[in-house]
Amino acid sequence: MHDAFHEKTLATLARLARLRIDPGEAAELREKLELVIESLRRLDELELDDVEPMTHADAGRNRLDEDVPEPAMAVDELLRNAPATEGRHIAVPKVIDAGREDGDESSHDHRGRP
Amino acid sequence: MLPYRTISAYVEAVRAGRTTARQMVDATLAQIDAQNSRLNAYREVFTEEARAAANRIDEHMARGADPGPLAGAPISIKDNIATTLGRTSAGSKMLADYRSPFNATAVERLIDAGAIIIGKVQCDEFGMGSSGENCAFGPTRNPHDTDRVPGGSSSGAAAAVAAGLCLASIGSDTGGSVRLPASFCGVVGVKPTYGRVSRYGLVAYGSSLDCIGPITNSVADAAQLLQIMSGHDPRDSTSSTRDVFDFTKEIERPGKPMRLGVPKKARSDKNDDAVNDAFARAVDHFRASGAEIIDVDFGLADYGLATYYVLAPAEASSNLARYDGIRYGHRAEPVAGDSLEDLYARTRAEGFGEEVKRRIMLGTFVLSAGYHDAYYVKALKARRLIHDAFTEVFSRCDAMITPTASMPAFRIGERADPIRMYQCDRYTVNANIAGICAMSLPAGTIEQDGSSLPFGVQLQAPVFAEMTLLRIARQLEESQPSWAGRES
Repeated sequence: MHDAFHEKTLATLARLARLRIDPGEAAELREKLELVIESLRRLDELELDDVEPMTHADAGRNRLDEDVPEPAMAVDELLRNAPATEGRHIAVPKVIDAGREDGDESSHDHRGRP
Repeated sequence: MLPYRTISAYVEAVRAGRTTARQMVDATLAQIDAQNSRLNAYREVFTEEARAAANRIDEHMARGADPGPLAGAPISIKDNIATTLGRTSAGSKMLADYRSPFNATAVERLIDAGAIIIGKVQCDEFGMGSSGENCAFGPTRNPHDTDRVPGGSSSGAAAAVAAGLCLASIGSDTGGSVRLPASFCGVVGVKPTYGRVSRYGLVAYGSSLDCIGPITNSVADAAQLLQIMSGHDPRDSTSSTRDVFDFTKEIERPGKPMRLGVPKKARSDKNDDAVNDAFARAVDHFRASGAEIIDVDFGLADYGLATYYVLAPAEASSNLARYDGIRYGHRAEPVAGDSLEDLYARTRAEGFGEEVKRRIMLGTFVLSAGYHDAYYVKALKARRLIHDAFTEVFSRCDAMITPTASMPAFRIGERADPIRMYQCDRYTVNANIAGICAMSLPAGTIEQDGSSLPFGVQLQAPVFAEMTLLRIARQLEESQPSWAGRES
């Protein structure tokens, strides 16, 4: 347990979190994370073997609502917050490999949507 | 100073024809104008919209129509709660220009009850902070001493209420974010039971912990706002279908004497000495106001912080994955040769502040393969133990009392180390972990370095026992009006 954070490099976590960490901020970030993770080891003092995990504070039962169609928000309204648009579409950088544009669809490379 | 300090005093006056909604709004705008540059409580003020709304309410009343229970009371909204007016930025550069196409359910209900939304108030980024310093739009200052923090994350909300820049504010509380600033600023703050108030329109941080709650200058005002905002909302499946009490009426009814539990850790060497002293005085006053005080054992309280700082970042790392610069929010300038993934990573690096990045990384770590069981599952089990410990305590008393925080408001910049900052939440996180209701109530002052700083006492009660909390608070407020700043 003790060296947990050292084994995972900051880079691996940053990739999983889709965060670019500047080389200048990496050392401090790592140091502070290690401090926090160290403090979380407090939980090791508890006897937890036979305890059922509690995933939610909501003690009520899950409830199914009637499936009733409702008006949706206007597209124009929703597009107002998009960083870039083209017509009624959200514009994004090219996600399909340029060299394979004439290839069959299944070979297109949709890179890493989180 | 505003001509009225509480919603109830204003509503009584406006109904009696002694003032108008427009006069109240203008007085509030004048106060904001005079004080906001010093406090940075407001991110945005809706001057014209508020005046127009006040005029409508006055015309409405002139025709003899009912203006609703809030009758034009000016109320501010934390920047992480959606309003169609202005921006909803959650204190983040990521959402600096985000305009919500809808109102949060809580906001909608307040407007329907006659509230005037006077502006949006600053907060720690995405609710992640205990001081109000982690805000992309600058730190908010404590009106009692502007060198000090107002507490967070509902920093602007508590500062605005304390300084008289609105009659009340709506904040959110994931680990203490309503109660801590209420304590530091000397105002009332309620974190309702999980599910009591709809979270629809609240920018998600830790979805199993997040609650919307009122910050006010009196217990009666908190009861009123809670009553208006509570109740089932089809748009939030975790919102409770339980009936909502008539809190406003019920708190004035004499109830049975309450039994209050004081855990041993309520007085602690981890607290400032002045906090231990102020808490002892508060316990005496509860006793004098008719409550029975018993000792209770809540040893697990010490594990709350470690539990919280696994669960909240884990949920945050998942919730904040939505900010990728594609559909809304900040997008980094595209660079030739970037993959889509590079764009996500640069967008998020530019849009998020330091503390948010740290919590996303921490959450990613505790959820990652190999560490999930050692941290996340362990914290979920500790959550069960904390929940069960509360059940045990509440079998012996109506509510548990502690200080809201181990210290009064500290100086801006004094707690840059995250561990020291997280310790501000040691008394408040447990209520969110267990889902119970809690509140902070002004309970005297602490003299420190020439400043008179507010001290807050925290009341915690079982799920859906808001009525108990409010009754106890009302009794104390009545027996000690000066504590709530309600002399004369």
